[in-house]
Amino acid sequence: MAAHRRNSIWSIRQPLPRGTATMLAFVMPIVVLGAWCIVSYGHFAPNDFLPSPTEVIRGTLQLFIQYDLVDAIFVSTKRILFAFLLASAVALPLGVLMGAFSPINSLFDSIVAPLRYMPISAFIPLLILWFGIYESEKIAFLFLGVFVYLLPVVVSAIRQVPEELVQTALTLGASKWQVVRTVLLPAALPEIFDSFRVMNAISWTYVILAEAVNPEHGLGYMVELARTHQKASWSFAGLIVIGGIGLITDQVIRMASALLFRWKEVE
Amino acid sequence: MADEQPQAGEPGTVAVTVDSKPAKATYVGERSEKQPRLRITDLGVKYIGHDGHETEAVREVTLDIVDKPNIGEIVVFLGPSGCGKSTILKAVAGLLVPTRGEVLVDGVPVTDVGRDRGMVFQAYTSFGWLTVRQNVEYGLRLQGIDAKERSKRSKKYLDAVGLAEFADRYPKDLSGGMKQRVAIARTLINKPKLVLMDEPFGALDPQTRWGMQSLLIDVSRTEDNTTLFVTHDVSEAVYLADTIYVLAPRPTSILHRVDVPYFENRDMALKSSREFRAVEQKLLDFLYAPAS
Repeated sequence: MAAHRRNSIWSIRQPLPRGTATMLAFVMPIVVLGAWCIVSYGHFAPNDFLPSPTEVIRGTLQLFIQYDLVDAIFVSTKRILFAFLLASAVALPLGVLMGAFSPINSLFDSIVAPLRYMPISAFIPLLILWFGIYESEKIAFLFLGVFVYLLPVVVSAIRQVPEELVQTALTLGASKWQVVRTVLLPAALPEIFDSFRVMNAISWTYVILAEAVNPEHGLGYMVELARTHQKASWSFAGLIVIGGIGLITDQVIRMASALLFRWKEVE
Repeated sequence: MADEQPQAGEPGTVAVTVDSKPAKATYVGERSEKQPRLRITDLGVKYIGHDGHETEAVREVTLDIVDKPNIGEIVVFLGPSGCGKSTILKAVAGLLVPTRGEVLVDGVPVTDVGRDRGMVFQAYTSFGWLTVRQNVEYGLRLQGIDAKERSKRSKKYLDAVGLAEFADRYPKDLSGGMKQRVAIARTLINKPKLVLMDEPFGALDPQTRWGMQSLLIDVSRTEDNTTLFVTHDVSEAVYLADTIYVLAPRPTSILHRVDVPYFENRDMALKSSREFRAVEQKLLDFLYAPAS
């Protein structure tokens, strides 16, 4: 291990001992949970305003048993996955070409760049008009949300591949297409894959928005149920479940990335 | 700076033993009778920067390099940092289009990059997602050569650069010197006519650097190619070179050509020998001759 400037946990940007780090990570959850328990069990707030932990657990079980929360999770996950695959299928090739060839970049950037500044939720009325209120509208909305974010990531990842790598490949006899396929793409892939974590987070946010239109299935429907039934405990349950799924999928992507890109140098 | 026009009769080829007065001069490229491996005629390169400002990197470079058969000789371009030495290499590689002049390899004008002119950069260019062996075999793979033949050929070069036992490791496990050995092997396996080396040892620590210099000489000797080696390190130039072209600062042009005597024994002691020092001194005089 490198020598540290000063052996204090307050040294600027120096790592903490593992034990200390784990301990500190538990502090805030315990404080929040403790405060929650005191306020709710101590009846400092009305129960329909802030449900107690027991009630949230009960609410979660209700959703699982009576309203088939598992199916809702499954439906939402399927929608996200499908939209994500669609978005990748368009954004990856287009982004690689835009990153590699300036004319293609100039051609498409003028319509893609403004898209990023448009609030994604403002597209919902249009999408309903074009795709109706069923499955395709939800997929289209999620697609748009992911695509708009993924494309610039791909373009910049391709651009950031050092020029020397490209020139080396060229002098080793690679054609332009071979440079794209055997150098630009593999070199940019870890960064693109890393952005999937952010895309994952975005998707779980947008899926609730998407499913707020004509809610029938999915986690958005669960959230909507909580609204119509005025049940705060269901709202909490929904949030906790979505947060949990987010954390788990994030971990899965991280592990997949570590596995796929074992060759990558760690800075 | 080096604004003067080429003047006939100024020192061109300088034998080291001749004590000619160092003077700011422009080397007048001699035309060989035999077809040269590399012929550069009146090469000029100007860049237009992002701010629209024009920079002249190379001016009126003319030279002939004749290949010595069955031996990989090393020709060094020696000049101050940022003088545009690399620009000459890139023009030879076909990575940039010169503003004027012409580059011929075996009589054929350079119009594009090609496998016959491999390049090694100062920056580490190992493909991180490929193992050492896959890196070395990269060029063969592009040509569609089958796996058996590839591994036969890569073995030879992995052995030559001493990386056989690292063949299946990824570049992240390699030191800087080892990464440059990968780059050298990967270039040589393609059997290029010209090996273009742009300060390849510039980022290495002195110890590693010396090792790499003797390794380069060893692997080059058995190849029938010509290495163009760019450096600003005088000692490196003398140690490696059969011929040295001394370059002027930007816009770069050739000041002198120096044929380095053949040193039989290239161990480290050579660098402190009187003969070696004399050549170094000569080059320093040329490099830092007072601007007239």
